[in-house]
Amino acid sequence: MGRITAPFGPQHPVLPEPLHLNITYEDEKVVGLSPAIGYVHRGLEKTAEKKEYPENVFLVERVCGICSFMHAMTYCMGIEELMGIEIPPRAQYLRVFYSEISRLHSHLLWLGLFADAFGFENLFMQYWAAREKILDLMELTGGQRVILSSCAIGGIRRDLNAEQIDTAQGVLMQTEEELKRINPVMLNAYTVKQRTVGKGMLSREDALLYGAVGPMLRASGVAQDLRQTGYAAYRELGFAPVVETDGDSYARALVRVRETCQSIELARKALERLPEGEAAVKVKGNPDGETMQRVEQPRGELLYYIKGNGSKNLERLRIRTPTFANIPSLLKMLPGCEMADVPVIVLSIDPCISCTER
Amino acid sequence: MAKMISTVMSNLTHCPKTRLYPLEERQLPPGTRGQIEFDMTKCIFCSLCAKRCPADAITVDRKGKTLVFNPFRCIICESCLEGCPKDAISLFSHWRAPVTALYEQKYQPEPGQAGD
Amino acid sequence: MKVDTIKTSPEAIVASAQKYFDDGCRLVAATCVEEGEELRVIYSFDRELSLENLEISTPREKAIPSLTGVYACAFLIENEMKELFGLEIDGLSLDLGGRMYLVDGAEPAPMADHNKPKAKEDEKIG
Ligand code: SF4
Ligand code: SF4
Repeated sequence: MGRITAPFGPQHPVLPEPLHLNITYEDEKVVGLSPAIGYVHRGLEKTAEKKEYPENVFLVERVCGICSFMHAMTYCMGIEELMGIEIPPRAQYLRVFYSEISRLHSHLLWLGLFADAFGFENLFMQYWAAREKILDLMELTGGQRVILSSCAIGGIRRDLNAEQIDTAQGVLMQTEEELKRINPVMLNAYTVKQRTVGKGMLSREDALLYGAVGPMLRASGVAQDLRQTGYAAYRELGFAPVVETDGDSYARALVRVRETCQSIELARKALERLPEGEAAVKVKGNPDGETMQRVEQPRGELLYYIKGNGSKNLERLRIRTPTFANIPSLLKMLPGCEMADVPVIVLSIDPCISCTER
Repeated sequence: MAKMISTVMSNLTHCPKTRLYPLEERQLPPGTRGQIEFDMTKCIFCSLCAKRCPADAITVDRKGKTLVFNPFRCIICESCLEGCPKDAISLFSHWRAPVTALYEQKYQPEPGQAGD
Repeated sequence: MKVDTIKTSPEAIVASAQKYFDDGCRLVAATCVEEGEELRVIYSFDRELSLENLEISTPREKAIPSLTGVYACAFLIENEMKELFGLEIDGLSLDLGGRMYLVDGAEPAPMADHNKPKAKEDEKIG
């Protein structure tokens, strides 16, 4: 039987991200693959060594266009730890709020793209229409649609006023209603189930072996979500991870659907309990020493290693993004599957290549 | 079936969710980071903004009293606004229109300005 | 401030990683940091949401063993270190040949260029 190796990506109709996989097929079956990422490598880790540490906040925000707020937050948390800065409680709650609306918009984006991957254009449109409301909310509160730039070392740059909080509560409530209408289609439609159930199986053991993180890990039955560690205000808000045990593409979609509802709830709770007071403290001095920070992003665990040397420039900044950890599991999931299922399975890891390659 | 009819009806009676862009522009909420402008009657050419700019979009010549701003490098992060001691930079909530060629904006003190 | 690490030697790293694997820990990341002439590699493992780190130091020229035999996911991390720092790794399960991020004709080991004379770099991959 003849084998053929064909590239999947970097430009592929179902994938907005420039993921490049060289896939070997035998007839219609996938028999092997080798990832060849590197299409959008920008050398941001190196650039960060050349910039001053407050400027890096804006740099790391651009690691990823979708979860940009969380990159900034993780970086700020790291620097705050190095410099011994205690940020005010209001900033902690606002960070939760901004994180959760980022997660919400990221998951809605993914759900839309996922629907698009198996050709369900209508559902794609519905999810993106719902997401548009969240983007407007981000624009209203943060000042821009995706790159919020509202996180700074020492707290939050943009405090919310009462009117904005009211609007945000309203939008979140509306989105919840909207999702109640759309979600059943994603979860119950016959066609969706045909394309996702049992596709891209990843068992609990394999998830650990291949180092999967985030919704991938939780869909395989491991109840791990870094929000459990209670950074920012998650400890006060109370949090339990969403877990599914099937480990297929459908389970991953289900985890994300349930997480969108959870995000809305958390964001609203954060706004309700928002303490009064300052949203930022002044920062003086330079970071010295090294630290590791982990945060749960929409796609999974994000790790920052920051090493400062007492000057304005950092000695080393290392960013391990969630997709970087999820790509190896493709090596397990893809071989043996049908060619037509490749886009669905690849999308089920929620690849974000700009993140991965930095 | 009943559900479908209600969806069809609402789609028929509601206006589209999209906008005919060049004809109809969206109003940005106040506070949106659209673009920045320098006010040369206030600027003292201290170059603090250039120092804080993460994108190196501003160059200030302190002796020659000129400030060159490259709007296409600017990422509209507001750092310069926060750093400016004279509030000479202001933010506008509308986006810069697309252009066909890149340019830099050169600012010089306004004639008749009181001086340093 | 320092990150809490357990220092081991490159020879013992695979056995220690195996212990973590047997305990059901997840390999989170490996971070390569330049320290003068030495490269310091910090392997981070996740045990029930807390981070445990193993640390090794190695001279640039000496190859370190690969963890791909224990954790299949290590290949991407190790390829990255190999490419960006010029660290040699023995026994990689899937070697992307230094062409993961870099293109043909790129300067080898771009992350490793400070703290060391330029001439040395040319001997590395590429
Ligand atoms: S910081 Fe303000 S006053 Fe100083 S050079 Fe910039 S615009 Fe002028
Ligand atoms: S807004 Fe930010 S990027 Fe633009 S000029 Fe000011 S500091 Fe530079």
